Amino acid sequence: MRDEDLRDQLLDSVRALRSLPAPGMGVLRRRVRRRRIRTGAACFALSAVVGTGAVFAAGTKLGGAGQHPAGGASPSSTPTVGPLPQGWRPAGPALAPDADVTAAPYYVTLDQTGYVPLNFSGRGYAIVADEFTGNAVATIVDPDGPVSFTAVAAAGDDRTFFLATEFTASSVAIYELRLGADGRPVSFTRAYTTRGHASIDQLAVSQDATRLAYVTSKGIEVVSLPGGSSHLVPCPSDTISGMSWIGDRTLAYVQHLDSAHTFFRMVNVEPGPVRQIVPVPSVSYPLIASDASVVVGTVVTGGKENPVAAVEEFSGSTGRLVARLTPWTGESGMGSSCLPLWIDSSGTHGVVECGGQAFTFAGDRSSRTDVHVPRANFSVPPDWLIAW
Amino acid sequence: MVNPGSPDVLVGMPGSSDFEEFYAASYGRVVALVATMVGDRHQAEDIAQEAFARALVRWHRVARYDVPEAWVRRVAMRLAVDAGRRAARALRIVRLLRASGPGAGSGGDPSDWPALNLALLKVPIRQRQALVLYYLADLPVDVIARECGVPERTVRSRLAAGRRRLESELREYPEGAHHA
Repeated sequence: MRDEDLRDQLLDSVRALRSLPAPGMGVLRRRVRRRRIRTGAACFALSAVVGTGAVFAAGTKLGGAGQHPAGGASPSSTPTVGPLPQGWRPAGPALAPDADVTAAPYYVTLDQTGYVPLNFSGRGYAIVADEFTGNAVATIVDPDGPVSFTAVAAAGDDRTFFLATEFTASSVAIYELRLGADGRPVSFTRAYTTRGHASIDQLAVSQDATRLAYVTSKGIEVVSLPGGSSHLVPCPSDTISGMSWIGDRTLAYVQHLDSAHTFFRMVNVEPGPVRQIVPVPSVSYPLIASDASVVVGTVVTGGKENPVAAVEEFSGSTGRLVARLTPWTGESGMGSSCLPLWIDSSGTHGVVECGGQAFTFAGDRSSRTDVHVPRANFSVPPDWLIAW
Repeated sequence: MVNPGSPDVLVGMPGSSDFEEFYAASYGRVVALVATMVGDRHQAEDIAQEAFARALVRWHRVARYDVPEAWVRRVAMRLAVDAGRRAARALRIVRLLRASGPGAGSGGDPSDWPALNLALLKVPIRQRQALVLYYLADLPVDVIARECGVPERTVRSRLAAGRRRLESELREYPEGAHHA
C-alpha cells in the first residue's frame, strides 16, 4: 500500500468523527470538578498517611509568625515531601565524580507539560532535585488543595525559592520554600496571596528575598515582604520576558516588540524614570544576570528552511554579543532545541540545554560539566518552570 | 482554600470564550486521532474530553502556545497509549466478533471498523502512535519526535516497523473483509 493510499484510507475511516460536534462546556467543567473532588479525597487520604509517619520523611512547616509575611493565611497543612513521582525521569548522562561544580546543586522544577510529564492523578507538584546526580530530593505538594504550581523563582542564596499556585479562580498563592544544606525542605509557607489574578507565569524574587514581582495583564505587580504591600508598575506586559530583579529597587526584562525591535530594559519600581533601555538582538527565553551585566538567550537563524539555534550572551550595557555558549543546533519547530536554564548573579556561570543535553558553563567558557535536568520538550519558557 | 465541589470554580476564568472556540474547532480532530489509536469511538471521546478538561484548567498557559491543539493532542495520545495497552485484551474479543460479520461506520463497537483500522489495532502501541500522527495528523517526523519525546530516528524506525506490521496484519484478513 502506498503512503498516499494509507493516508486516504485512514482519513476516510474517521471522516465522520472529524466533524463530530463538541459536547457542551458543562461536560468538561463537570469532569474538572469530579477530578478535583477525587484528588481532594486522595489528598485527605495522603494526609492520614503523613500523620502516621509511615511514608513521608522530610516535610516540615514554619511556625513563627515572622516567617509568615502578611498577605495570606498560614499554611493549612504540612507540605508533603516524598519519593520521585511515577513517570518522572531526569535526563542526561551520569556526572563524572571529579566534575567541576559551577552551579547551585539543587533546583526546583514544576509539574507542567514540557518539563515534567503530566501527573495524571491531577495533583500538581514541584520537585527539588540534585542536578549533579539527577536524584529527586523531595516532592512538594501544595498543602492548600489539588491545584497546580505555575511559576517558580529563586532568591540569591540558592536555598530560597518562591512558587506560585492557582489558588482559586481569582487568586494566586505564592509560597516560600527554604531548603536545608542537604537540599531537603526545611520550611514551606504561604508568603503572599494575590487578588484578581487566576494565574501567574512570570515570577521574580529579589536576591535578598524581600521583594517579589509578577507579570499581570496591566503590568508588573511589585510586592514587598514581609508585610505584603504591593503596587503596580504599568507596562505593556504581554511583550515581557526574562524578568529579573537588579538589587531591590530595579527590575530588568527583555521586551520583544516585533522581530526588529527587542530591548533590554531596566525600570525603577519606586516612582521614577526608566533607568536604561538597550537594543538587543531578538532573543527567546532570556535570562538576565542580577547585576544587569549580561543577557543570555536563544538566538535562531537560518530562516524557515533550515532553522538553527544557539544560546548567546549579550552585554547588558551595549547589547553586543559577548559569547556564544552553545554550538548551532537544528530546530524542530516545537520549542527550541537550545536554551538557557540558569545564570548566576554575574552571568559568569550558568546552565544551558542544547540538543537534549544540559551542561554548566564557567566564566572562561572552556569547561563544561553535564548535569541532570528534566527534558525540555515543549514550548514553555524554562524560566517559568525551573529555578536554581 | 479551593473548594473542589464549588460549581463556579471555573466561572469567569479569563479567556474561557477563546477556549470554547478552540474546543469546538478541534474536538473532532482529536477524537478521530484517538479513535484510530484505541479502536473505540466512545472511549476516544472520553479520552478527548479528559484532555480538553485538562487544557481548560491550564488554558491561561496553553492558549499562549503556538499550537494549543498540539498540547491537547499530546495529552490525548498519552492517555490513548495507556488505553491502547488495555485494548490489546479487547482485540481478542474483536476477532471473535468479526466472525459474525463486520458492519460499517465508526461506532462504539470495534467490529464496525474497517479492516485497515482493525489491522492497525494489532500494531504495537508506540508504532501505532507514530503511524497515526504521521498519516492521520499529517505531522512531520521531527514534530512527532518532539511530541513523543524520542529522537527522530526512533520515530522513523517505528514508522517503518509499523508499516511492515500493518501490511502483514492486513494480509491476514480474509478477502471478504470490510475495507475502508
